[in-house]
Formats: sequence, C-alpha cells, structure tokens
Amino acid sequence: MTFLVPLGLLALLALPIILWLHLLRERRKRVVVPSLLHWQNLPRPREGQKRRRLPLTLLLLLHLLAAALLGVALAQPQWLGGLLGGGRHIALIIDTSTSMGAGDSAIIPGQGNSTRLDQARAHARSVINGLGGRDSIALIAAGSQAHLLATGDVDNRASLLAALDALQAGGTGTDIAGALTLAQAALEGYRAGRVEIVTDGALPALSATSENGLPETISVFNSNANVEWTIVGDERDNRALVALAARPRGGSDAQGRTAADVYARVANYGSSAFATDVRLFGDDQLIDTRQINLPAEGESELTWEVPPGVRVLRAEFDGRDTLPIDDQASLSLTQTRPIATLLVSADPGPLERALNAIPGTSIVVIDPGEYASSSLAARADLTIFDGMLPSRWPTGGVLVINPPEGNSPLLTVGNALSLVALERVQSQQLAPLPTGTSGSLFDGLNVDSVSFDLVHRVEVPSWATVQLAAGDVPLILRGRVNQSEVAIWTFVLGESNLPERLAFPLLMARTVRDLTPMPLPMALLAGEALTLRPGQRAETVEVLHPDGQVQHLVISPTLQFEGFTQPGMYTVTERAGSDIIYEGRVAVNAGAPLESDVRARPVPTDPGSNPGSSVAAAEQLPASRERQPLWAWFALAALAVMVIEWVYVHR
Amino acid sequence: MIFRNPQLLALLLLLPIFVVVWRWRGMRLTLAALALRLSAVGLLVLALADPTLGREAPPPGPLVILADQSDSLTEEGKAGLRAEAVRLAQAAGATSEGSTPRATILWFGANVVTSGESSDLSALATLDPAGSDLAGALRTARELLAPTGGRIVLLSDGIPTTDDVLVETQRAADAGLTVDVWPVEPIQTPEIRIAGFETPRSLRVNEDYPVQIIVAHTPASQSENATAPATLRIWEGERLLDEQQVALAPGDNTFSFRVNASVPGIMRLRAEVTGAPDTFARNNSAAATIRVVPPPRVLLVEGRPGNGRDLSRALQREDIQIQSLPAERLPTRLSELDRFDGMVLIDVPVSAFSLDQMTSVREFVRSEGRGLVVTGGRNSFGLGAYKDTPLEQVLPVQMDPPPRPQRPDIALLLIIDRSASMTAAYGISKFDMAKEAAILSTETLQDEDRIGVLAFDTGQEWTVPFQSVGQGLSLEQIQDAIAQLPSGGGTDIFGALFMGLNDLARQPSSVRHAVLLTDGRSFSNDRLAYQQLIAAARERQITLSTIAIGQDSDIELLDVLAQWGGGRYYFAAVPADIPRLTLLESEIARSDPTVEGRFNADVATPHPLMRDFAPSELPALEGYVATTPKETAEIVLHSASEDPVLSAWQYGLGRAVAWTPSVAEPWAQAWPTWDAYGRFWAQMVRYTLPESDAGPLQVRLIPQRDGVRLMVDALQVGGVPLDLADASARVILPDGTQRDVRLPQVAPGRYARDLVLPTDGAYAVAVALGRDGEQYEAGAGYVQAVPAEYHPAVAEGGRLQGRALLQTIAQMTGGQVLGSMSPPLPGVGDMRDSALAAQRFWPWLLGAALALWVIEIAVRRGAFLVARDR
Repeated sequence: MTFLVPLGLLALLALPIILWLHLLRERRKRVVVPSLLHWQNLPRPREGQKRRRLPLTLLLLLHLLAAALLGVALAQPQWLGGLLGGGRHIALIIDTSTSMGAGDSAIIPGQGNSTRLDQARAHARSVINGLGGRDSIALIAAGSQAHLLATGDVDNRASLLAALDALQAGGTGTDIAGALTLAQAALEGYRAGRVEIVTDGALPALSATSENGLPETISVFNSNANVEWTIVGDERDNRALVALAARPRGGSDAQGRTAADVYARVANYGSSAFATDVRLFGDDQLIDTRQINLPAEGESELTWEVPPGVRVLRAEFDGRDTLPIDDQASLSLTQTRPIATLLVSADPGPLERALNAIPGTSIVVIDPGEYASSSLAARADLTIFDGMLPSRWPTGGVLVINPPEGNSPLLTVGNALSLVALERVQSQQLAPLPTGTSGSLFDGLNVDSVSFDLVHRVEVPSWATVQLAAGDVPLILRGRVNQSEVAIWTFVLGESNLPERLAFPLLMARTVRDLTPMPLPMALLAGEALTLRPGQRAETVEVLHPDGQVQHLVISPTLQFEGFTQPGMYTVTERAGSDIIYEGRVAVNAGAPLESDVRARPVPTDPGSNPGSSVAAAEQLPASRERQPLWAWFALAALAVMVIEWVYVHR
Repeated sequence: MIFRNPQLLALLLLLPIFVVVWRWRGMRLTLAALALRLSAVGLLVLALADPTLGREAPPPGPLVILADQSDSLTEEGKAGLRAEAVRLAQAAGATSEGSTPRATILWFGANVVTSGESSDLSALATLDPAGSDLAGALRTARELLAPTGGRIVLLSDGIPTTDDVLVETQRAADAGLTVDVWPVEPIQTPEIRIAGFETPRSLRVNEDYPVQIIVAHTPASQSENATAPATLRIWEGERLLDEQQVALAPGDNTFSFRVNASVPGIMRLRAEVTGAPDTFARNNSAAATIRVVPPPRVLLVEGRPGNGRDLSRALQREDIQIQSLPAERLPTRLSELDRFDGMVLIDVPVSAFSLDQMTSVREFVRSEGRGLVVTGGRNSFGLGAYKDTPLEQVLPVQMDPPPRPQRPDIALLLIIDRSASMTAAYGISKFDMAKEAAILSTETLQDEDRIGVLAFDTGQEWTVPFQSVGQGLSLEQIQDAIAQLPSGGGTDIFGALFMGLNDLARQPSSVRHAVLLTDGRSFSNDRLAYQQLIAAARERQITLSTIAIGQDSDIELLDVLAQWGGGRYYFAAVPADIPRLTLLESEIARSDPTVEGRFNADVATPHPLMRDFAPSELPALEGYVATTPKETAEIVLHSASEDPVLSAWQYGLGRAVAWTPSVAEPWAQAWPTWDAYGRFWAQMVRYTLPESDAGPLQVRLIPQRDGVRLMVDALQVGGVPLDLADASARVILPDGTQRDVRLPQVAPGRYARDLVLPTDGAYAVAVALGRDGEQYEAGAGYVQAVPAEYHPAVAEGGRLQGRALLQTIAQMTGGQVLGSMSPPLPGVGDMRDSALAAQRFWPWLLGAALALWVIEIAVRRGAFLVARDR
C-alpha cells in the first residue's frame, strides 16, 4: 500500500488530541441539588491520579479507531497489485497476415485440419481461458496495420474470445513495430507485463541490412520490449502469382479503347520443380493458356498483349499448394474516370486542345455570358474559367485562368503587369515552390523557356498556397474552399508561350488530375491502403466487398480505406442522393513474396534499440497504474465505527 | 457540481437512526453532541459520494497523452513537455477508479514509443527525434482507444513532418474520439543552416556552371543583428572543391561556387557550413546531384560538301560532337538516327532528299523528341523547295514569303537544250519533257511578267523572244511556239548562256532569273569564261539555276554554274522530273523569297536562344530567305521588315529552329570570324536537344514513407515495353561506398525495388538492363534531404501553421484548445486547465468530518465546560 498524499497523514494528529481529551477527567455539567447525601459512599479518585491514568475503554478505542481511519483516508492510500503478488499482464500479438491462412498439418481437436491462424487462435484461447483473478490481457492483431482488438481480464473472457473468433487472415505484411508499440502502451504501468507474439515468422526483414548491405526495411523494434515469440506452422511449399500488372498501349480503336501489355510472374517457394498451366481470362473468357516449368526456388515470367475492350483480367494456375488464394490475381483495366469539364471561355482554342488530349475528359464550351444561366454548371466535375470569375465557387474542381481585374468576393485581382522586362533576369529563377502533396505538379516539367508576359497580381487568399512564382509575383495558386478544389493561373495564357511548350499539355493534365477525383488503381495488394478522393458532389461512398458485404465510408475530401484485406474484386460507388455518380472496381490480390513464401523462418532477435535522445533516469512516469484507491473503504469503516460508537454509548 | 458516487448518498438515511437511538435511550448526550455527530456523519457520506466541480465530467474511458519529443522543440522544450505530460497523466490518474489504467503517454518524434512497464523514461532512448510523426501518434492513440473509447490530449508545436495528419484526425473523429490540443509556441534558437543548394539538373561534360548555396542565419533573438563567422565548404563526392570563410548576416546569405563537370555520370555535391552560434548540426549540410551527360552528338547535313565546315569546327570547339554527312546519305531509318541528339541542315535543298529521308527528319523531331536546326542559303527554305514537304511541316516557318505591298515583276528565261541527245529513241523524249516544262512554267507567270525561251544546240534560237505574258503573243501562242520547237545537233552551253543572259539583262523587270536545261556536255569548257559571264550577270541581279538531265550531262559544270549564278542546281534522273523542276524554278522566281542587303537582326522577344547575347553584338547579315512564321512559332530575331531571321517552336516531342540567313557565305560572311560564333551556334543547337535523361530507360527514385522506391521504366521506340530483362542497379552512397541490388520486374516495362537509404546526402544510382544481348544503361541522382524537422521554414511554408493545424484537429474532433504555453521549464509548469483537474471535494469533507469528530469527543468529555467553569 502506498499513499498518494502522504501529507494527509498529518490528520493523525487527531489521535493524541483524542487521547488527551480522554486523559482529562470527564467534566459534568454542574447541577444544584438539595442534598449530596446519596453520593457520599461513592469511591473518590485519589488526588494526583486524575491526569495520569488513561482509562483504556472501548469507547476510547472506538474514538481512536474512527479518527485513525479518517486520517489514513485523507492520505489517500492505494493498494499496489505488484506488492500483493499481482497478476499476469499479457499483451498477445497475433500475426493475421495472408501467410497465416496457410494450411498446416497440425490437427486442432474438434476442427480437424487447421490453418496457422487457427493454431494461433487456439493458443490465444488457452491463454485467455487460463487468466487468473488478477490477470489481464490485451489482444492485438498484427496485419498490414496493427489493431488493438480488446482488453480485459477474466470477467471479459467472452468478449475477448469473441474478438479472437472474428480474426481473419489477410493482408500483406505484419506491422510488428506498430503492434509492439500498442502492446507496450497497453502494458504501461504494469510491473509484470509480458508481450507474446504468435506468428508463422513470415515477417518483414528484421535485420538492419539485407545481404547487399543496403537497408531494405526498418527495424521493427522501436522499444525495449520483453518479447516472447511463439512460432506456428510447419515446413510447406507454396507457389504463387506474385505479380500481375498491365500497361495500356498507345493508340486506341474506333471506340477509344486501348490494348494493353500484361506482365505476370509466378514464383515457386519450394524445393522441387513444378509444372503447371497459367490461364489468362479477359472478362471471364479464356484468352490464353501457357505452360510453365517452375524450377525449385525459381520464378517464371510471362507477357501478353491483351486486345482492346477487356475490362477485367484474371490470371490463375493450379498451384496444388498450401495457400490457394495466391494462385490467382486480377486486374481491372478500365480505370479511367470520366471528367465532365465545362470550359467557360471566349477563346477556348489552346485550352480545348490540351483538354481533349486528357483521357476520359468530355468538354462543353460555353461563352462567359452564358455561364450564369447554364444548367451544366451544377454537373461539371471541373469548371475552367478563362478570363472571368463566377459569383461563387462551383462545387468540384475549378481552374481560373487570367482572372479579371477587380475586387471580387472570391479574389482580389490587381492590374496586369508585364514580366517581359524582368524575363531575362528572372527566367532562371522561375522555380516551383514546395507544395506538399501537390509537389508532383512540376516534376520533370521544364519551365525554363516559358515566358509569362502578362500577369495579374493576385492577392493570395488565406486558403491558397503559391505553387509557382516569378520573384514575388504568384503565377499559380492552389487551395480548397468548401467543396471546391481551386487552382488559379494568374497569367494571360494568350500572352504566354506556354501553350506552345511541351510542358503545357503535361501541366494541364496534371492540374486536371489534381483538381478532379482520383481514378482507382488497377489492383492492390491485400492489406494495402487505398486513398480515395471522391467527387465533390458525392454524398456517400460505398465499398462492396467480394463477399457481398457493403461498407459505407464517411465522406471527406480524402478518404483512406484499409479494408482491402481479402483478395477479390471490390466495387467503389459514389452516390449523390440516389444517383450513382461514379462506380469503379479495384482488384485485390493476395500473392506477394513476403506472404507467399510460407516456409519456416527463424525467431527474430532484437538487433538493438535505435539511438535516440538520452533522458535522465531521474525523470519518472506517474506511479504504477496497477493500484486500488482505498480512501473510500477507510471512510466507510470510519462511518461504521461512528455508528457502533453511537449505539455503544446509548446501550 | 456532480457526485461521482451518488448512490452512496443513500447512507444519509443513517442520520435519522442516530436521532432515533438518541431519543430512544433518553437523550443521554447533549443536543450539541448529537448535532456534531449528525454533521460529521453527513460530511462523511457526502465525501463518499465524491462531489466534483469542473467544466465537464471526464468522459468514460482512458486518456492517451501524445507528447511531442521532436528536435524542433529543443532539449529544454522537450523536457518541459515531458514534465507536462507526466503531470497531466498524474492528474488524470488521480481521478481514476478501480484498476483500469486512466492515462497512457505516447512519446512521438519520427516514431512513436511508450514506456511500457518501466516506470522511468528510458524508453525515450528508442525515440527518433528527427521528425514529428503526428499522424502516426494519432493513429496509435486511436488504435489504443478503439476497444474502450476515450480521449486524447496532444501536446505539440503542431509542425508535423509527415502528411496525413488531417486524414488521421478525421479517423479519430469518426471513431468518436476527442482530441484536446495543447499548442506549444516554438522558441527561437540560434541557428545556422543551409536553406538552399541550387544546381542545374544536368550539365554536359566540361561545362562550367555556377551553383548557389543559401545559408540561413537565425540569431538567438530577433533584436540581435550581429553577423556570425562561418566556414563554407563544397565537396564533389569525397573531394573538397572549395572552402570559403564567410560572415553570415541574419537572414538568408547567398554564396556562389563554380563547378566543372568533367566525367559523365551523376555528380554528387555536398555543401557544409560550420559556425557559431548554432543549435542543430544536422542541417549544416545539404546535398545535390547533377547529371553529367556526354557531349551531344549532332548530325551536320551539308547541302554541298564543305558548306558546313566552319560551323562544324565551331561547334566541336564548344564540346559538341559533330558528324558531317552529305544530304543524300542521310539515313532513312530512325533507328540509324537514334545515336544523334540533334541535326543541323546546312542549306540543303529538298531535291537532295528523298521523301523517306524527309519523313525521317520530321519523325526524328516529332516522335523521338530530338532537335533540328535548319539554316538558310540559296538552296533552302523557299529556295530549296521546302514548300508542302515534311521539312516545311517540321519548321516554325512557312515557305511562302510574307505578302509585300508591291509584287515584283519577273523576267524568266528558259534556256533549253535541243541537241540530238535530248530526243530519246523510245517513249517520251527528254526534249518533249523540257518543252512540256517550259509550257508549264508559262502558266505560273502573271500578265506583267516577262518570259523568253531560248533553244540551243551548237547555235541559239529564240523560240519565244522576251515579252510580257499579257502582251504580244498570247499565252497559247507562246505555248504553241514552245511545242513546235525542233530538235537540233550538238551542245554549246556557253553560247546559249551568253546570248540568253545578255538579253535577260536588258529586261526591265526587277527580278531576272534564268533556268538552263541540258543533258549534254558543252564543247566549250572554259570555266573562267563561264565565271566571268555569270559574274557579270550577277552584277545585274540576274540569277541562274541549272537542271542536269541524266547521267551524261555535265553535272559538275552545271552545279558550279548554279553556285556562281546564285541559283539552284537540280538533277533530273528521269525525263519525267524535268517539268516538276522547271515549274519549281518558275515558282521560286515568281515568289522571289530571297531578300538581300546588309542589315542587323533585331531581337523580337527575349528568349533562351539569345541568353547572354545583346543584339548589338551580332555581326551584320547580308540576306536571308523570306518566310512566314507559323501561328505558334516564337520569333527570336527578325529583319528590318520583320521577317523571321531566327525562329523556334516545339514540334511534337522535339524542338526545331529556323535560321533563314546562311551560316557563312553568302549572307553571313563576317560570322565565322566573330569570336562568339561557336558559342552562339552551340547555344542554338543545345536549345533544340532533348533532355539528357530521355532514352529507353527512365530511372526514378520516388520517396516513400520509410525510404525510396527505385523505379525503372524501360520502353523501346513506340512505347513497346522492354520485358523479361535482367535489371540491376549500383547505388553509390554519400560516403562513396557502393551497393549492388537486383531489380525485379513488376509490370510491363517496369522494374522496381524499395530501398531504405541509411543517411542524409546525395546518392547516385546507375541502372543496367540487359536483354537479348543488348545492354541499356541509365542513371539518376537522389538526395536524401535533411529531415524537415531541422528546416522550420520548409515545415512552415507548405503546411498549415502549427497552431492553426492543432486548432483544426481540435475542431474536427470536438476537442478543446487547452491553452497556449511557451515550452515550460522542467518542474515549474503547472496545471492550467480545470477540465483535466476537475476539483474534488472529498478530502475537505473528510477532513471536516474528522475535525467534527474530535470536537464532538471534546464536547462529550466536557472540555469546553472545564474552560467555561474556570
């Protein structure tokens, strides 16, 4: 037991006061009576004894006990679990990556053949069932991201087991570092904490450097954890389709569809050679079958040219192995996201040409005078204003080129000034500024020979950042206002040679891409996070899983979805009310060298902690959290004593 | 005021019991004792109910405190934040009940650590302070609180070095977690750092170039204005290039060094500044890489042998590798042109090229992105019949001369060989084709133009004497006269020229042009006589073109006659070519694109082509071929009549430049002796050349969260992927050591590998890719920058300011801004917010109960009576 406020023990000074009061001869109230006759025979205390003899009575004890209990309560006593022998406090990390779904020879009673995850689950179940009264456990799943599943003690056994049963193997990579941090945090303050990791050992490289001496991954150990490893799974061969990717070919057919080059790699993680047929399907129609001979520990690569019009590509082979889900892979080839563009311009020539070159862009050109009454304004994914400003920013992407001079509620635009005189001096200084996430806008673009002859001096709004400037004159601004992604080109395009530069179509394409919703990738690795930038008009985003489950995402300008843990084809739908404004598909594949190589691995060892700041050992964390505040119990006891004393006095 | 254990207020029911017992047993104790007892018990029960005063009750669930321990806070600031975090945890722990942990502290820098079961802060030894992974800290806190819910308190300066902070904030909000923020104002510390290292992206071998280093000096206080002495050094690889002692004024200080690129490859540069006072050493260096490419290889195509000799020498002196080639030997296959970065056509007429060759030149620029410079002369542009050819398509100018206020009238003389050899034994004869050509020529002329047709063999006969097309004989009569021209005997070219040119000289037209068509050799071959004759004609502004018909013709003589005559020489291999060539000549004569006369070119618009050249520096020119600029062409230099002299444009993937005067004679005779001749032309040629990293292999290093992804795209001409190749990379680390890595293929034409780079600095990557015996190589540089943690300006520039970001985080999650503080000193900070330290009254109530208990005992023992009685 410890005292949180030891100064509270000063209250025990009440005890000597009570003793002193009891040492005093009890004084009675003086009452005038007619005669003392009846009290004459009473024994009389001797002189000199009235202050020295302590009457050790039950009453005194009760008085002292109540005061002592209250005094101790004021010092805020606490039990420390450790001092009582304590319980066990376990952080149990379970590897849930794809490789844990591999079949195993071990038999689990009542289940028959099992997977590695089943074995891990059985182990965890035994740990949970073995929890004692003072024990506690934190269950952590280490997939591609670490998650704290549940914490509890013996009373929470049911919820712990339920969390355990809900675990599924899936996802590439095992975030052991994140799991260890969670485990350490869950154990913070417990003296008898222990981290246990149940894994098949198919983890990211744990050593600081690879065989070539160049680090290929970071160390998973970022703390000095007391870690025990439990390895599940036995030696098994596996074969996997570890790469399937496509690249559109140049040119398109009459319908605007393009052919694609396809590449696939099949790996054999086993000690014996293997021959099989790899079949390629386009929209579930067999396109080609190739026989491959996989040498032991070897790979085989394949390429195809796929005709235009194929929407979904799937490659598969019969691996006859322990992890069938990595024997196939898919791609969604139609990832171009349509961009409805409204070009508000009196002279749309160069802009329209550049926009036409961007795949998936449909363009409607209207005169600036028609914009206010145009019904297209509300439906456009991207609105480009050339030489005009709207009264309010339209929803979606907005590109303003050559904003008109004046003080608009949206923008304060000054006089146009000529940069020609400055050109010779500043052309070499013209440089893109760092722009955070939009940094790739100018990657590889050569703007050295671009002259921006006539530029409007625009007051940079608080919501915008300058992406390109000549000296202190902003040329390109970018920002977000409510539901509008806005870019502003302050220069007069017709007075610049930019439209004649090779950089112009690239800059325009990147700007359009930056302002409009992102297309989906062709495929993801299981467990890989997907960053979505839905359309500005989207009110809901749904993800339809291969098993039919629908997940609704909370809408925000940028969504990061990490739920692609199981392989298959996912459908992402954006809705505005009941209207579907976009529907796209993304394939999720399980095959990856890290997960598909399911052979036994050695138990990792801690390569040592990272060098970091030294901290004086004198700095202490708050006292152990494994404690029981006792003041209330002391106060209750004091109350009980008071009741007893009252009854005793009045007996 | 709320009661944390309101159910215990039921114990107040004990109070009546006390009273009942007192009365039942005859009220033995005084009323005062009863009142004191009731008060003490009441206070005790109230204390047990745990009344609390605060703005709001702490929500259920634990608290996670995120404490920033990044280096930008300074050691003092970090220690202060640690103290605050511990204090907050203690305060939160004081409110906890039962054994449920109430507060967890997560320390974050570039990573997130926790103390685990140890009670001291030794876990911070594993924290990397070179970053502020705010998103990672929020993610870990969210994961920790996921099963139970709870809240987060974030102590930070709000300057993250990773993205996704707001994404993680949104996730925390979606998970129902509130984030209270405690902004820490950054403190200014003395700092010397390299804020910028500006180098060119690429250089050619032996190119000398200045690089700029920007050193930022921040004094300890804003009022301080003293300069700081420092030493600035620059290294190439491990070799010290230069060292300067400098004085740094507060703010940015720019210094310049010159570097010379001597070896092709990736040049790794490192700049380092040392000085005092300084806080962080890690930002005292910066690195850069420059791609050093071999000298460009340029194909010089000469219209006549040797007419590019001066230019070739000048360009070679400027480190441009030149291969000269006569026009007719220009390869027709793009693959054979692939080794050249650019091409210069020196006064080459279209007749020297086949259509395939011209198409190759066009695609060389348009599809392959290479450079093209076309120079003028008497055989190029309009004079070289570029009109309506692929060469006109690729150039920034059209061949039609600009419209003039007054069209010149033309006198065209056709001198036609009618010797016996011109009549063929089979089919249509050369003579018939020559007549047909002459007839066609008349159709191109207008009424005010004059035409004369002189037929010759050993004698001369005016088939059509000089006359205006619209006067005298009608056009039909002229054509009839030509058609009835009889064939004759031998060949006397000189005689025909003598008669024809003398007669032409007498014509009143402002443009006088003669065309000689012959298939034979003249029995008179006195070159001097020819030269004198033609020189005299040239003095009278007469030009002469020649058409050699067949291999038997005196090609050499006719060629030299055209040169002396300021006209063009053509070779008609078959008779069918004769009408086309003759018509061409008549059209050239009619359009009159030649502009002659001394002039100085004016700069039309500032342009990189004229970098470091003032217009007055340029020597005078004596003529050019008049052309019309295309709509999107950039006119760099123009003549007095604003005709393009130097123009450029982007054509497809490449650039083309048109120089309408000649490179030397006849219109730029003073140029080869100009001391800047080579520099001027080298700058022009280099402007057209593609980026040095263009090629079948594109090497990129893309920053990732935990390193970089080395990505190589291998695409052949036409975008065909180079698949199934063996790809490997050699990585040179900042310390000069090398590592080899294999690059597996990951997609069609793409090879990639993820790498973690161990230290800050410049890395050079050389990629080799082999397939089917062919080897491709490419390189790239990459700079692992000093973490943004040590560049506050960078961190502040692109992101929301720290406090604004923290406010946004609180706003998004429904949390509060708990107050601002400067970095508190260890041990002197204090709780500043009652929301976290809600005031609890039970100790006071308990103390009061104890006091009343003692007083009651005293009252019952009569202590007060004693005092009063005395």
